[in-house]
Amino acid sequence: MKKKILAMLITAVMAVSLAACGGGGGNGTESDTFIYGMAGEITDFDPFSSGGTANSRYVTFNIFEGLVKVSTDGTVKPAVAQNVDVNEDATVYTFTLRDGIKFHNGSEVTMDDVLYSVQKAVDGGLTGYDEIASFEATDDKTLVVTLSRTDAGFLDYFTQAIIPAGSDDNGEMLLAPIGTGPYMFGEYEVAQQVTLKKFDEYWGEGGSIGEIVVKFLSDQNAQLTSFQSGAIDGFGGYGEMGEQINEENATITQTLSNMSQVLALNNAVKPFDDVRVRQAVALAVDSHDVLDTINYGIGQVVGSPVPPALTKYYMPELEDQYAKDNDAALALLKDAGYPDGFTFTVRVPSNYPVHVHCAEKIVSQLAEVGIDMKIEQVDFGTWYEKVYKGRDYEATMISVDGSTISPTAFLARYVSDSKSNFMNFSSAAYDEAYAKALNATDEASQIEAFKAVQQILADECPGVFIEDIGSLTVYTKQFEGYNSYPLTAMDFTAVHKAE
Amino acid sequence: MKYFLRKTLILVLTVFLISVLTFIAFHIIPGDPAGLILGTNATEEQLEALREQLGTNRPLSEQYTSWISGFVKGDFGTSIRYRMPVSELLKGRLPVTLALGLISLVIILLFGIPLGILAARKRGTWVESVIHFLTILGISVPNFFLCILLMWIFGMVLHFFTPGEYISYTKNLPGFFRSLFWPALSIAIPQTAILTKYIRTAMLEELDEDYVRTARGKGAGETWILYLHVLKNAIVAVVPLIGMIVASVLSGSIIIEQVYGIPGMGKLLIGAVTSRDFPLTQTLVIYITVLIVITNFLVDIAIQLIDPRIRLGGKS
Amino acid sequence: MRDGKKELRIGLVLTGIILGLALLSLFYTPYNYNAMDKTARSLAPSLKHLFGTDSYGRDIFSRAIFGSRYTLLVALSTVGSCTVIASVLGLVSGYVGGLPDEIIMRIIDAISSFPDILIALMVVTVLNLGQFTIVVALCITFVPSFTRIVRTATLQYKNAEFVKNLRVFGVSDLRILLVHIFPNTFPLLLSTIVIGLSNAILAEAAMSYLGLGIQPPIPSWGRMLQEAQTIVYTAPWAAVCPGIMIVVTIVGLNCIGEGLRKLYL
Repeated sequence: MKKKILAMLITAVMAVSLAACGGGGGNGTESDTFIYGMAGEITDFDPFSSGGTANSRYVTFNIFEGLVKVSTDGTVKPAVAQNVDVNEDATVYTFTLRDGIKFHNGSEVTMDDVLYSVQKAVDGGLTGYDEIASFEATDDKTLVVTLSRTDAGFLDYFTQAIIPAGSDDNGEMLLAPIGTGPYMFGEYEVAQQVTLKKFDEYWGEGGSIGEIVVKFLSDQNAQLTSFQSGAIDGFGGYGEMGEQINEENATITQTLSNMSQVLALNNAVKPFDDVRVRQAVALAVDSHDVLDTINYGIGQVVGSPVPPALTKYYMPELEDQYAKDNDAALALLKDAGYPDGFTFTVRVPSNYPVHVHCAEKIVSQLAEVGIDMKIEQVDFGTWYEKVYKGRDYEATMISVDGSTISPTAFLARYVSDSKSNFMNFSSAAYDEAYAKALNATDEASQIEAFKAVQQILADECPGVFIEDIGSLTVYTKQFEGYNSYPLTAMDFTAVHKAE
Repeated sequence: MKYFLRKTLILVLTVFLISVLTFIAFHIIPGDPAGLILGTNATEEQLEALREQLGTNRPLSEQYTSWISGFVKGDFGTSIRYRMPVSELLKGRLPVTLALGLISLVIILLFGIPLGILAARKRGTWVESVIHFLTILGISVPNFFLCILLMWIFGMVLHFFTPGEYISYTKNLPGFFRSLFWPALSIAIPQTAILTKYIRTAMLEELDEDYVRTARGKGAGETWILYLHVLKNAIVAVVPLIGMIVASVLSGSIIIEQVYGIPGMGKLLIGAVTSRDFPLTQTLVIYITVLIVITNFLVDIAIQLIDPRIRLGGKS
Repeated sequence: MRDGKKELRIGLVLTGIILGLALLSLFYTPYNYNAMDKTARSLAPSLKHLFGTDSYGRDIFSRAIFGSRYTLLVALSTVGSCTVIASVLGLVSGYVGGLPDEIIMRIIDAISSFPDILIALMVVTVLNLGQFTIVVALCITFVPSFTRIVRTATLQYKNAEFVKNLRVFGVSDLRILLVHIFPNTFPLLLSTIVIGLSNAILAEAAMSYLGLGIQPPIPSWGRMLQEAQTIVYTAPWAAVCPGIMIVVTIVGLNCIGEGLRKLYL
């Protein structure tokens, strides 16, 4: 009797495990497919009303194109427009449409489509579009945009998508985007993946892979597991993940994430209302040590919100303005009336383990000058409402990205009355310098003016600008080719089969 | 019949209670769905436009009443995060989570009960010690650690499956069950251990009862029949556990779905809450409630069938 | 193993080791729990680092024993408070029956189907108890299963012969409940408590994601395990030490429970 039951048990085990072992792996590597694993998910593809989420922009970069588009060195190049003319004081921009360019739905791009798209962007209140005083078509191929003020950097904003006229009247773009880019939208499976198909009638040099699948994975652990098991062919992640990859069967490309990680101090609360205290904190933080220890040295130390990718505006001299100096920090603290240090809480959004770990490192660094920093993790929804919008915090850690590659995208939030000035930074000198930089008529003077702006920011030290955290792009040996951009984008046209 | 009516009424009440609770929760916790969609780059105009579009600029109470009036008519509203009808989102996921739960439950019952009996039957021997050790291990090994272990040994080393690969049931049904087996096993192992432990404890209790001693004294012998008879009594104590197990399977599947990348309810719920998606969260919470209430209701009936001493309704 | 003494002894030794280490960490840890060393990343266990180092070069053994007092405190207070609440609810619900039973069980149903993540977010917003907000949140999520266990055991004995006899002799309901029924729920309750402890240790880590729980840089076993997940393929030992601590604690407590049950029940 008992033997029978045992036998039954064993049979059951075998049956179940046999059933489970039946199928093998088998992914798309033999076919014309590249499977990319993304940590996070894309919930919409709308280029206008949102255009916001980094994950979405990462992929829609391949679907949509503007009149101009960003190239790898950060400059803009013509796309839907063949040619751009700018007048002397940078107030009138004239675009000439490219001939015979087609949308993914097969229809040809006309001036109507362009006018419709620009109007969408203006209505949506997209960054930079508020500078447009008027825009009109002088003939079927020519668009003239007149600005309300001079702006030599205006083209940086004009990368917003061109879509077919009337195609987004009811928000259709959200889940069924149509653009002119090298890849067209294929199939979207909510919270699972999106498939892109090569657009054969692309006007330029398109991609070489026929089908791109972007899988939405929950976190970096899932990325690593899926990569090691062969479920995905490539992924993008943080520097610390490099250690987990066997370089013999993977190609790793290092790039920057194009945003500055900041230990943001709330300038409106004690003791951070005193610039000496903020400077003391900056001196006590050793950015190089944070970068080397937490990020395995992958990334770059910065001293300003403007990331190194904006080469023209970037100021390497700020990197070490607050080089680690405990004595100087102690002297400043004593000056400010805190000879024995003080205690404060840093609220870190818990969905970013990298910020939490950096904060752990900074705890020890600040302890050396008697400052006791406590970490409090908060979920991102709470962080956004309480910390970012409500400004109810003492300190926080975050990397703030820019939607475009213009310096304003990174510097506008420090203007005293800016709605996104979550650090409560207030400096008359900064406001004045920033206004001056906006009104610069030519590029050279604008660059100089924006550098002056950054210098003021560094001196007044609203928070500690630590590093541009590096990122890794990892492929299996079957694939190669990666283009790095100074903004959030994954260019799938660069990916091709390895020889 | 009256009993069923009463239970249905209670189910409706519980669902209502839970929807009010969810409403209160959303009232309390901070978070702006539009802001979470657009991130730190958005201008105030963009945020306002999106809030208008999503309808989240209305007071939450208004959002709630419009959602609930739709719900009673069978319209679950539109997800804020995914901008599509909630019913459409659920359609694809319901089978996934249900299949995951059922496979786990089958494994749990298939192994938990016999192992529990065996441990009680073989008490004092090495068999009991081994089972005892395994159950303690099963209970104390952390769930997600177990996942990693399974993925590593059976996925990476033995290549029984490809971790991170999920096969949709619409594409390949056997493949679908195959890709759910290992996640289900991860959910099932700790629960099986718990069930084994409870069965064993309850059996041992029961074996010490007078009637068993008498039966043994009369020479009934240590047959499986005796143990099955004892089991019938012991199981009363264990049946409510099934309700607990179903709840654990549901909540356990949240972590498992994340780790294995399975597009089920759990993954959706986490996303819904973290993005403050009110209609989607409401619907998911109610769906879970209905499942749990119905399970507990079935458990109540089962207890009554096995042990008529306990009367339904509980009044003595 | 028939008599409980042996199990009790094993249990006491195991928990004694853990408590001893927790006590030791009050005065001494081999390294500072948060001292990172980029030249000593992910080192395998050696004489210098008994259980190796994590990916930032922190000594895992020091972290595990430093974190033990926080981890144990959270787990024990969660399960302790939960047991008290659930015993009262379960006994009342099972013994009294009728409307009180219906009300309690419906609330229990509601709580158990309510997502933990929402409960946690609510608790963290409403209460501000610092590190110990977690105890409240976990307690709420654990109460339903504990209550159901106690209730079922109560139901089982409520109509038993000996209880009926006691009633005939005019023994008060309260006395029957506390002296005659409650002790009978212990065997099942003990198992639940032990499982609850291991769940609490792990749930603490899961909840730290929502800003609840033991905050870094102070280590907790659960979070150490969670963080080891990232490096498990190259440095599996990062998971071993916290894993062993958890397993030894649970096995120890389990043995004590079993031993006590065999000796006194």
